Amino acid sequence: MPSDRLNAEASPSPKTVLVVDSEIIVRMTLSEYLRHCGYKVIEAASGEEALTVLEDFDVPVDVALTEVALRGEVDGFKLAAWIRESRPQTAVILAGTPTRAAKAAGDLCEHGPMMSKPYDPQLVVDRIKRLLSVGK
Amino acid sequence: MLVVEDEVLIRMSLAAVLRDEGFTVIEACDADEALVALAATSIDLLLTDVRMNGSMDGLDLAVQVRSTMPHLKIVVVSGHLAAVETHGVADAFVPKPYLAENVVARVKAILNGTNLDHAF
Repeated sequence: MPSDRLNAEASPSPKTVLVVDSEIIVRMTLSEYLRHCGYKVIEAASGEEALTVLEDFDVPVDVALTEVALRGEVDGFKLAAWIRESRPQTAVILAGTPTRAAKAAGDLCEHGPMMSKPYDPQLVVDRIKRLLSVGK
Repeated sequence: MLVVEDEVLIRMSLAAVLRDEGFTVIEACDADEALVALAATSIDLLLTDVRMNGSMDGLDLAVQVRSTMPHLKIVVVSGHLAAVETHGVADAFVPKPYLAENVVARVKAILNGTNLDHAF
């Protein structure tokens, strides 16, 4: 973890991760870990909240980490599709225990398969670092 | 501290300012999430908007928290209430719209025990 913090802080400005999860305990725990690793984190409790953030193009979002099953009308798949269309520079990580075909997830996010939950925080950070290192 | 606000951009901005001041901030989008967070972790101060979706508004949340967690400091934020409506429930009232820096100053004063006025 110390090396993750150093790596995240070594960049001129910290990368921003949008964490989207309707379970507050999951969201706050993961967000706090990512902040400890040096990332700037924006939290959204639903797909609708995430879209509100993302539609403000003045708000930089380097990576969106989203649960598939979100409350409201916008699930993780819809959110990922919107990001792919409207914010192609934002990398997407989908997470959860989906009932839908894994191929759908792989079509929507880089370096599929999806991440499984419960999160392993270190695996999350490793995935974020890989995505950011390929300039996506 | 726990920030409860259903407008994500407002919540995001206020939480960022508070974190820059060194506070550990948990974010909740409504009173239901707030109650989950309050049950799961130790929180020193609750900062809540009033008008929110969910099973209760922020004032109801404050009343419930005041009765069950009397040690917890409470700041109520609202563009619709008058300060007098929060007397006996909140330690401070902040009218909307607010400057984040003013909220920070009020939070610091409450946590330091120097807040004498109920509202700005």
